[in-house]
Amino acid sequence: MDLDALFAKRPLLKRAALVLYYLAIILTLVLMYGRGDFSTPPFVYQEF
Amino acid sequence: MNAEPHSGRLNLFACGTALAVSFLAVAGGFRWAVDKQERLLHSAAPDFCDAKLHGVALIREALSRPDTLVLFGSSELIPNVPFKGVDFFAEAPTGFSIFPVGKAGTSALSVLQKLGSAGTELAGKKVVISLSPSFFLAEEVDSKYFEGNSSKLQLKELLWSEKFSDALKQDVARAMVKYPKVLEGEWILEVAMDAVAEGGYLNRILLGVLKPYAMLDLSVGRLQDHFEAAFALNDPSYLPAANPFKVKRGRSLNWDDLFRKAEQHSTALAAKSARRAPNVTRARGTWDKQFMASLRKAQEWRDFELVLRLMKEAGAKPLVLSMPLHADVLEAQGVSAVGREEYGTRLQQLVGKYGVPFVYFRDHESDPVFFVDQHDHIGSKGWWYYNKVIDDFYHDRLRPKQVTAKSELIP
Repeated sequence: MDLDALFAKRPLLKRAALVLYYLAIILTLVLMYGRGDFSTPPFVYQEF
Repeated sequence: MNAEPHSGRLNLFACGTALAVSFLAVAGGFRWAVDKQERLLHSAAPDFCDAKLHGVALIREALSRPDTLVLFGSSELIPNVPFKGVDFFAEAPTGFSIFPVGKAGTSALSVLQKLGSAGTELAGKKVVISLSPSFFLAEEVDSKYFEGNSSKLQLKELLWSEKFSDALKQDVARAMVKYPKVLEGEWILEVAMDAVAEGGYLNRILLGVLKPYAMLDLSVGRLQDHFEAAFALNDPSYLPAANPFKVKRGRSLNWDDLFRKAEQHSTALAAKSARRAPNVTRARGTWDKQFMASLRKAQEWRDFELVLRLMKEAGAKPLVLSMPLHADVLEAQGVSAVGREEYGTRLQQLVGKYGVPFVYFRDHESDPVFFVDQHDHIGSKGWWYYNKVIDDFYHDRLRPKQVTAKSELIP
């Protein structure tokens, strides 16, 4: 299917698709860099 | 040619809408995360997840509650023994519950960063600090202990807090830069920590330049922290109990009866474990001088004094508890009562300098059932004493004599 033709016929659909496209970019960035990192250098406690 | 501006506007509209939707989603998520922390804080008290120990949100939430007392400690918080503080006060039998913070190897420097990260939340708040004497017995604490308990977020909070004086922050930074591993991977933290440690006019300018970016970085870290705490609390085991947390007011406990039960538990456990007497390696008193010399040089004193300074500047109301030394172990190593006395004396002098109430259970150093093993891990009987003092502290019933001796507490 020709997307250009479809979007030309339905401009609202084009807007929605673009918004979803930008949302996907933001979501990808959040998933890649958004998690908090509480990692510490490893250590083994010997006194248990 | 004419389509370009139109396409540009369309993209701008789409990007703006996506950003607005993302902002609303983050704001909604933040509200959900805070609500989760408020509702499930008490369910998380016995847990030692990273979000609790290395984050800031849960510690601040606990400090903000009048019905919760935050207890900073080390490995003694971990073993599951009857009468353990967090379990004993879980249902708030006398009007409050305990929120323990710390795990194995939490030396003074780790407590310092956790307290420092709470910043303004400490003002006027009661907190309890449980000390493990073993950290004071060596000239240097194993660096892995602090590294394994370090938190970049907590360090950033402390470093950029306006609650603390420049002099204190400089001394803290000088202590922290000795552990480069804890700063690795965060250039802004490394640069800022070095600048604070070195001090001087040029470094102040550098810090001023860095600050806007550092505050933005810190805001992102705080947001992540709230989400991480909420994700941790999302575990099904934290679902609100059938009987939700409800503070009981005006109740007093039968401490005499509880003491008998705690002692029975400890005695039964000691009989089962059949602990062996330590091997005698030196004659009595032959190692006193060396022991005292090593004790005096211990880095933990300097680090613990930073904790006391920080709490004074923050306006906190701390109570310091110290478990006793293991007399039998030290006797076998040639350290007599004369040598052991040095620990309590020095600690009392240091804590007294800051006017902080201090309870040292010195008279239990030969008690065979105060501890659960030959390390700094107290058993049921030890916890009974801790719980009694903590309860008296919370209810403003600590008496001056009780602050230095244990005899007042014996039923």
